[in-house]
Amino acid sequence: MAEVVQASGGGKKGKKGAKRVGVHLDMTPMVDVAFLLLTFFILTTTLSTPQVMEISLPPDSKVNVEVAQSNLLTLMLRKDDAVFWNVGDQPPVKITTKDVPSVLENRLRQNPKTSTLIKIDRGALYQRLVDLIDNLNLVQAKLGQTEKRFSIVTMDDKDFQLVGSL
Amino acid sequence: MPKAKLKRHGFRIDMTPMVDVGFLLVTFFMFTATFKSDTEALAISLPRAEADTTKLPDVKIAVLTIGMSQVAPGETPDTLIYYSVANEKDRIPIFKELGHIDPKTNQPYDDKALAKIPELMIKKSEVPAAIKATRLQNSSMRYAIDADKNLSYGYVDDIMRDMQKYGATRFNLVTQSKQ
Repeated sequence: MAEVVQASGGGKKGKKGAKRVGVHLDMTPMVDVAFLLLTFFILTTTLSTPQVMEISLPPDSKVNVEVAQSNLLTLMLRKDDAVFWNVGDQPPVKITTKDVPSVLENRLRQNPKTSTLIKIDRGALYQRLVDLIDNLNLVQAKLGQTEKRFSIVTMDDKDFQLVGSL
Repeated sequence: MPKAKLKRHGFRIDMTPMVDVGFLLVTFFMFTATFKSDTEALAISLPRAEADTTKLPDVKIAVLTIGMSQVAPGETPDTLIYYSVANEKDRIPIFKELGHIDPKTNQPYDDKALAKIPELMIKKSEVPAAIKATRLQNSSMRYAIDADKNLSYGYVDDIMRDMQKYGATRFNLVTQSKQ
């Protein structure tokens, strides 16, 4: 492993008396272990940090926020992934999740003051909520609108009656 | 006739620079490594989103992880909630407030034991208490909900309402990029 080698005779200019001892250390095992550790840490490390999506809710759900009916876009998401949209108290229109971006874009282009209310069935998948907010964020980014105006509520009995037969 | 001797060429490569770089990388990965925690056993599949690419902050953040326990096929998985607070200084008093029992000693967790657990498994009914304690401890704390995309929305909604009720009205939903 380690060996001590006498320096060969010393050069011509070598100082007399100063015995030079060269130490040869076999570093192969250490290097082996180092690279093993390197591989281990590379494989176990997680470099990708997750992303986040910001949500702002009103401080108290009992506080009523007044929004003009013409500015209020309601998106309803039923358990079976059917989406309904309406403005104010117009009758809801049934669409699929694929149509959501185009509907949102139309509405937000026509009326930049639109506030979106997302009504979602408690039984729907959490991913669907994220999809809706994501679509909203995408459309807003496309139209250059920065102010986030949306709220999330669960569907109540009245909503179920309204869209139940559609 | 003597055999013609094959001339052996011994050659050496100076591996010092390679070893240097190797150790540098080992050190780097050792310091940046985060080890698997309890919550990773939940194997949360994050919802996918593409619009907002802000990264999850790693300071002053309290994360509520909601996932489903892994069970044998056919069994119904349990929904589990883990609460974690990023900085230890805030975490210990908050976790203490919740007064969980240490299974090792059958006593409430002491400071030493709390310093070692980065996240605490809590019941759904304890979420308001956790948020309240966090708000009292550090009012500038940010919150994030790290939920499995296959959960039903109702479950997440209950937690969102609890957060709203106790003043954590701005929070983040943890997502994963679509790529």
